[in-house]
Amino acid sequence: MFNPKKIVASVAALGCAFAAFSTGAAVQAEPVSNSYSIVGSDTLEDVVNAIVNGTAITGATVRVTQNGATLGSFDATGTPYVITKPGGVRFSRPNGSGEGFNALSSSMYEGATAANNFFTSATYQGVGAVNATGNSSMPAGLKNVNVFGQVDIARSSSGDPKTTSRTGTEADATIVRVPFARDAIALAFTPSLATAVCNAGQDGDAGTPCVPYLTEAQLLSLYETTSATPSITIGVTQVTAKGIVPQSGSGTRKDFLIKIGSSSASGTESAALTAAVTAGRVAVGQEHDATNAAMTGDAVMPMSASRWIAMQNGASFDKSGTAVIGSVYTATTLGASPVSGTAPALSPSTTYYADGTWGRNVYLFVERARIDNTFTAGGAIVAGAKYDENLAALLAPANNKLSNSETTGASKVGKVKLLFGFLAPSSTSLAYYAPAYTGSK
Amino acid sequence: MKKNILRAGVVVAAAAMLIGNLAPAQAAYQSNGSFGALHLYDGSYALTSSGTWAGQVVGSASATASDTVLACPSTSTGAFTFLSTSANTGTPASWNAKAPLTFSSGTKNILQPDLSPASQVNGNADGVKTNGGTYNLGVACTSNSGVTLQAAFFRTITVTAGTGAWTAAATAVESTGTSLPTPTWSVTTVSAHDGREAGSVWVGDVLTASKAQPAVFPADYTTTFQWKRNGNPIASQTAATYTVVDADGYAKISVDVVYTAEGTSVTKTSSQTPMVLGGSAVLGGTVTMSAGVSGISNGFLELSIPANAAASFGASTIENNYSVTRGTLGNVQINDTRWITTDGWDLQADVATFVSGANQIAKSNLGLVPNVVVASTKATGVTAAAGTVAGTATYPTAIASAAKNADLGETGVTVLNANLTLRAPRATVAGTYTSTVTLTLATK
Repeated sequence: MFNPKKIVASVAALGCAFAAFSTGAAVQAEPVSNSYSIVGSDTLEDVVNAIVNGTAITGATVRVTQNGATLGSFDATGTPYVITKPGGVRFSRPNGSGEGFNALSSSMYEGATAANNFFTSATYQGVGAVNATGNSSMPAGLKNVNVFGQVDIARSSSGDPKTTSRTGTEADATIVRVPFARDAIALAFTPSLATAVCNAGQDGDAGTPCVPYLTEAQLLSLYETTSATPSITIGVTQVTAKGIVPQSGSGTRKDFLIKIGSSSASGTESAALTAAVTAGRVAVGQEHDATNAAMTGDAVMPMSASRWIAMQNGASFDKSGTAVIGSVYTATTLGASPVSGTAPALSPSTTYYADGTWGRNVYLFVERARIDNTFTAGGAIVAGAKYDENLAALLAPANNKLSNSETTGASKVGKVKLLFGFLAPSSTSLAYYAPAYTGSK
Repeated sequence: MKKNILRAGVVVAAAAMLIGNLAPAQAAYQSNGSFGALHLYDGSYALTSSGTWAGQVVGSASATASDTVLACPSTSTGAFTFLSTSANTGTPASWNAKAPLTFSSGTKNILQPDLSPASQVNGNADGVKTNGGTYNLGVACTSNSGVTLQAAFFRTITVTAGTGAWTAAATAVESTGTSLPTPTWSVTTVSAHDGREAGSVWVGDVLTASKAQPAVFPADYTTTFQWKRNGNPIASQTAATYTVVDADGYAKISVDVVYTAEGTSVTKTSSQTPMVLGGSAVLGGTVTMSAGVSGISNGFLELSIPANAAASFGASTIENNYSVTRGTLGNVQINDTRWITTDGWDLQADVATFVSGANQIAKSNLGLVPNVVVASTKATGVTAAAGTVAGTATYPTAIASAAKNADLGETGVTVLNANLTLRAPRATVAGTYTSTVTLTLATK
């Protein structure tokens, strides 16, 4: 019989030993949540951390708590595992929007299929770079962990991270999507590539600094290249470049590939992309980390504009390295910079964020029956039986809680989001999804 | 004697230092003990005084702006929002509930603290909600890792048991001003005088008032100044500085600071300066006389006088077929404490015509013979004048004088009196005749 408490105790003791005798990277245990736990997207982790852990970035202390209890938000990357609740099980760390959605699904599953309660991350962190081998080196004890009740909210930079969209009336539409903010996907260039692109004529800023931009067609060509020495055609110039995609499970990866046409709307990545990744013509690197190992030479990677702003403003740990922010050219962005101003007062470009393709709303996913007291899942549950007024209040945009978007006033959560590079979502409408499971690995 | 003035000056300076060093810790500028006024704003940043248990409410030092910071004392190392009984407000360990706050970057200021009772995540806020009652809700500035309270801004709220809905009592300035600082003065421009002693104040000096306010002080107070001469306001002198004028010679100057907040004013008065030196002081005063004159057929005399300078007359008698009334002016005290300059003085008297309706007695008919009341007089060098003789008197006339450079004795006090003789002309109609004696004291 699986005994989660026993494993927790033994590893905690190991942690103590390391702390006592090691001066290197200590085995760290994150505190558990005092109420609800939040996992998932890397894109949203810093802003959600700030909101739930408390921040004074606006000048006022802003901290979202609920009914006298603090929340816990867990990063997408860090140690290989997390424990989210007091006395909770240790499970592999959900890395990104898709895995957050999976973990939420498994956490809320109450049916007879045991594997649906299992969660296994596709990455095994803390033991080396994330790579295509995923969790193959993960110890058996971290695989297929029953995470029932361990995850309450999933952060997602993708509107449909596991392609399970439903209408609100379908019986299995048991997950609801709550708009959180609006972000945009920009591009991060290595300095040499930025200079080459600008010099070739694709500079979105007449002055300095240079704002390199690429078109969607140029990106598609780069990410599905069959050449061993990939390049971008700009006018008559061939600019050597290498594309980087975020790790599997990343909401930004999924969004980016759909937007450039390398993935179907349902998230099935193209054979050409897969072949390019497998052959190493396209590299894989941790999302939003412009210091990842692949970001050398002439390389470009998708970059959340909000993360870039937060890093430049000092709101987030700065993983921008020497990279240069650039944009994707569309009829509305015209290649202009996705950000305006200068750090530490860098702010979103409302024009770029408004772009129908490259601007994107970001979301929180939560079990529908917990915040909707009329939902019955087609008769499977009694209306209101699972309703949690505290969780509902936590996600109501009218409250100064997780979904707030008011940007006037230092005490407002929306103001914190703005300083982390997020604008208000373009819509506050809810949407509905069926769960998705990682199954038995 | 000179040493006395010097000593007084030293005492004043020491008092000013003590006030300046007063720590603002826990000073209560509000009647409920709060360090300053705390105004509450709802989720729309509208001023409010009530709320639900979990509703949005933030605090501000201003009644008109939601984003005026609460300034913690510089000694603060941490801050919390808190919910506590009144008795335990000063004891962080005994608060009902609290939540940590962060100062605005680079300051000790708290901006828009989240005062929603439900946001007080540490402690037992639920107990407050369940039991209801009266509590203090606000912001505490602390040190020693939250153990020691440096200052607390709070409102007294009444919580409804069960729902947790609450109503805040109005802010109210602590009207006795117990914690308000006492202002001080200092000589900031020193006028040149021969033999000037340290600590003395001279005509021509510039005095500057200090409110002695702590660096951290409730932002809603306004302050005004009023300079005073011998405790009486000097017209139009309401600036922070005051130039000592000739009229201040031999008087004492002080300054009031009037603290006003929320319509309540509290006045705090500085100590007085030592007596101002220099200047050409002329001191004056009047004594009212009222004497009855009887008819030639044996009448009487009567007198009414101010209580503090009593002139008294005996009954009139008929002497040589004149109505003659004798009396005394009453003691007049001159206090000359010009220890350093010992200028000396002259006292003279003028007398107005005695009047009874349309009838008059010329002032030449009042005889006035001054004398020094030796038992009460400490000054030396004082000489009473010869005075006047009824019937041939002329006024003004000298009463007494003190010689320049004479020793002023232990107290500088001279007490004078005068014998009065009113001899009415024979044709005088019987009646009550009134007059005044005007005494004028002038420095030599």
